[in-house]
Amino acid sequence: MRLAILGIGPVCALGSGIQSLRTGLQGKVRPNIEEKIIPTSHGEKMLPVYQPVAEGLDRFIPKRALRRVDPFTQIALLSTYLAIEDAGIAFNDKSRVGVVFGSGYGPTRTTFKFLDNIIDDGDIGASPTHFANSVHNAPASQVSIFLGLTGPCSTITCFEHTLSNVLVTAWDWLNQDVVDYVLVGLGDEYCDVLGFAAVGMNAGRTKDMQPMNFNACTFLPGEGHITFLIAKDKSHQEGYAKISEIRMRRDLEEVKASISNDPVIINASGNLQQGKSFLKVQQKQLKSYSNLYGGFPTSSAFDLAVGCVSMKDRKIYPVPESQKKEVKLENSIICLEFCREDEFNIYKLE
Amino acid sequence: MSLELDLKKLIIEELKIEDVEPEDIGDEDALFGEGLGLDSLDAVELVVILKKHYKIDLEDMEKARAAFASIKALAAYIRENSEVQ
Repeated sequence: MRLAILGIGPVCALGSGIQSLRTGLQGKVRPNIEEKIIPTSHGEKMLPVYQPVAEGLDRFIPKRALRRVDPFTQIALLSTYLAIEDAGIAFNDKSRVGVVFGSGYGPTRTTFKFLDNIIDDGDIGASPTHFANSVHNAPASQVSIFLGLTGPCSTITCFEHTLSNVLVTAWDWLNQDVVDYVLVGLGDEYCDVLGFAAVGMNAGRTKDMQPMNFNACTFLPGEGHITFLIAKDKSHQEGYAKISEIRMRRDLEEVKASISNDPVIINASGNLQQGKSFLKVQQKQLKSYSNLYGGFPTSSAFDLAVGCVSMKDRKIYPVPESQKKEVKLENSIICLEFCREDEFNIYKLE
Repeated sequence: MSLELDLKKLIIEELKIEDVEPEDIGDEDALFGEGLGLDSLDAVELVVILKKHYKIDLEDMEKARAAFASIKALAAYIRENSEVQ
């Protein structure tokens, strides 16, 4: 069974909605990068961070209804509504729509705010609203509540394996005929603690991320959320692309054997450890678009979206800042996700 | 700035009340129910706000019920019980 991607709702440093991602690929808009000050034992360091431009949630939900919803869940809601709008689908049977979300770190800003309040003021300082929003399942639950969906609802957090596990879960629900549609959402939130950790690993030494430079640390953190509306593949469907293969934790030999002449989108984000493994793949057709949305555990979901847009537009967009031109896309695209040294997840889009 | 105005601003900001300005809240208006429309979860948040901003531990529910009746009642409670104003 193949998975059909019917709608996509990205919210990232390029803006909100699929058109913002497309214009970013066309080089017409630059990502929103903000300088953060990170205090360290060696003084303050400046860290450029890709921050989402989240606009338009009040088109779908009144502001008053969002007063207890934190920013991380708000961008998850926005990306979900945008994905449904993009697909142009109305759910006739809301018990047949599943929600499976994934995040590497979850709502980090709210989580640390909640913990800081307990440290500063004791138990009485623990805000129930912060607690409710600090739970990893908060975005998926709020999506189910606001949309009135009564199908299965789950959240997976598995760091570099989050995207693959979320997609496999969606595939399983569809294959078992539990649902007709699945809202697959992935996202991560930047916070000062992650910024501190990034600076500790030499991030921020360059002002720009150079994802195709595998020999230097040019990592810059990012933040965003993206939702895909997915269904079983049926021949008459519109949409972007079909996911025909999801292969998890594959070694270098299998990766090399899997890649023919197809373009390969990799989740390189200026991280040296990733770079060492991608160097060994030794393929000319590797491309990374991470310098459009920054690096975070679920950023590979944005790579998948880039692959989907490329499939729909039948063209491969040039790597940002590369000065190259777009080329015609012949058949399929591979998305290659680094897991750990010389181990990758493989997604094939047709 | 008066304590009453401080409280109105704090409540609007911390409880993220949309489309309400401090001048829209009367000192004697009910905070809960048909007044400002706060609910039971907001009551817990108000306890947290009192601790965070005025260093007051309000654990007695009967006292809380009286203190949370209006801005005027809340300000009076803070004046009686807080060293931070």
